[in-house]
Amino acid sequence: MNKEYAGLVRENKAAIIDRWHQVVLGYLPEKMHNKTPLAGALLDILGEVLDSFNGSEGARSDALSNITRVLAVQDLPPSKAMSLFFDLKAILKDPAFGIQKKKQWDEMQADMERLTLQAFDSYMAHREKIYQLKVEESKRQAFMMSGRTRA
Amino acid sequence: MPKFAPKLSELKKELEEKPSLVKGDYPDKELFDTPVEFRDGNWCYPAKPELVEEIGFPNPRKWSPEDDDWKLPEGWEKIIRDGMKDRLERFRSFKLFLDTCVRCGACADKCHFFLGTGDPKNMPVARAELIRSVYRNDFPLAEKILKGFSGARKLTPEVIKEWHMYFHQCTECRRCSVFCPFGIDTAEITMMGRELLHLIGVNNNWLLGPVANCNRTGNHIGIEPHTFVQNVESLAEDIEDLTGVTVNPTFNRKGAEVLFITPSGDVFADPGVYTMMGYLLLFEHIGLDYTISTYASEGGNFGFFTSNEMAKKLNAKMYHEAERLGVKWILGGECGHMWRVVHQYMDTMNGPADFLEQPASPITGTVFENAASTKMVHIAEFTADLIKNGKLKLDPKRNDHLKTTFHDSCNVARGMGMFEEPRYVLNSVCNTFHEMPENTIREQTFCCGSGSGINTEEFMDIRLRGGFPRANAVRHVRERHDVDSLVTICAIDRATLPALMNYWNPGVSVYGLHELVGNALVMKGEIKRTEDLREDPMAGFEDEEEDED
Repeated sequence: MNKEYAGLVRENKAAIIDRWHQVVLGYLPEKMHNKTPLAGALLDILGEVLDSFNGSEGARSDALSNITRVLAVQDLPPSKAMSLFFDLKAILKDPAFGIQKKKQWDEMQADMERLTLQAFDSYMAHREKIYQLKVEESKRQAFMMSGRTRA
Repeated sequence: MPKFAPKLSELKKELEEKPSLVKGDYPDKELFDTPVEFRDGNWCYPAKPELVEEIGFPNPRKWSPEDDDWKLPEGWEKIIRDGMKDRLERFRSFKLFLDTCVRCGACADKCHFFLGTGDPKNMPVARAELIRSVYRNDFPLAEKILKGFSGARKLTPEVIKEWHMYFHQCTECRRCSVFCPFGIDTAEITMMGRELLHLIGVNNNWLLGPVANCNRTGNHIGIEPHTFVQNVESLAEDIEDLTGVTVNPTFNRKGAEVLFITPSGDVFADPGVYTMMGYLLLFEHIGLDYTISTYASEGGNFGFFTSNEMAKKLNAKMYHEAERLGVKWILGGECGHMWRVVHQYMDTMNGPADFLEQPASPITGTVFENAASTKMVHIAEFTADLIKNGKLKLDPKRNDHLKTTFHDSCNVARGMGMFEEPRYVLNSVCNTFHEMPENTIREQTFCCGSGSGINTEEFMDIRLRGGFPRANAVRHVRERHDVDSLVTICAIDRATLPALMNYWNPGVSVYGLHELVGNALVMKGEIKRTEDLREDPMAGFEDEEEDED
């Protein structure tokens, strides 16, 4: 994206990610230690999402796919799953991160809206994938039977 | 000091830093405050009434977990209490495990379902507490001894709903027991919980369907004997097309030396059938005198996830058939819970199998002393012995198109301590193998997330969550070593890991160990091999063959 606010996000990545990670862990039914596989994966993936503010379209798309892959199987309604970007916006409002100029704020706001919509597409793709997995599993169970039908 | 034992300083740090029940880190809620909510994706369909009737289980009816009224039988509270009393008397382990736990929390973050869902009731200590809390309240002596402990509660329909939810979010994998300082096996508590639920007709169709099928026709899917034969013969034809080699399996042949029993998934489902092709090639390669039963046509034992009595009955059919056919011993295929039952329970359920002989390999002469009582040998052990004694002609280059890792199946790894044999075989039949991280394999292996009879499609969301820790470990070797093949020795793994991999690690395929053995075997009289048993090209192999020519 190469925008002013993205540079500030990069400079403050460690502090932002620490707060964002805790917020997202709060979506789960109970607090989880940072070293557990799910919490660790979330930390990595949220970092990818932040990095993607300064990266290519492809990197952003991969990062969004990774975060929504995790969220799509959690016990969360889609609206809650997608709220992670609104929570990020709230974190970035902290003056400590220096995003204060109107231009910076407007750019960030626009990008965040775009990210949210892209993430929703990705979230829905993963939900569709789950239904596809069910169909494929049923087909594998009937592999020999369906093979005989084809023969 | 064991190599991987934590240091005192690490334990202290862990206690200080990690949240836990004992430190009061969850002050805002009582454990049982939140009622369970059944909604699409988090429950399995209840058993059809006709299935429940067929196997003589109580309270057949139409019901749904989403209903307020579960149509429990009259006097269900007494049935549960009497059932619990009976089991506390019959199963010393159950009583011991209920009494011993001090809620230290060592098991809390070891369960794949807790790690994948973050649901505190999926911490093994909490899952066991679901029953323990009723035990405290309803059994006077326990109440007296444990007076002052919080959490005693009355038996209500809400408690039953909670049991149903969480005893079916435990795959009885026993990873938690590895970390319990008292050795409490929470899987045994889950088994008792499920038995009690079955007493009042709270059940799962994916469990009782296979149980009824196995009880009636001898295998989970309910394949009739003639279809079972057709399937195996069809695989033999595929082998002939691919290799030019004719294999000649026999069925129900009296007087064969060995009865071969494998999970029925190897006879009807993808990718299990390729593992079956591997077995058939192996037996042809060594000239084994074996037969396959169309009646004891299932190694798996879903009775084990239902009740002790049903596990015993389904296990017994294998031994009855071995006796009827007059074989010397039984060779068992790649299965998980079949081996758990055989290794840990069979001897007291149906053993000793004195009518059989102590297994000895007819090819190498090796006597399998570990099978002295059960008379049943694991195929990985059998094949490892063949390789060790130089009895197999193998070309591991034929698996060069695969970069493998190995998933230890819970029941074989933790249930019978088999770690090295499958790795020895795998390393002998392929050239590229990478281990997943140490704390995710061998006795610490993470479950596939779908074992113990919950591998049904309507439960996919929970399965994908529960399988996340395993998938995450596979991701590790995929990213570092470009691993694309997950090899395993369990039929449920072969059935369920493809979906797990497809979701979390697209591009990783699932293989049975003996499928790779079948790829690598150089058979007498074979035609030029250019494809593996799945008819996928053996990468680079064709060039080598041309060079040799």
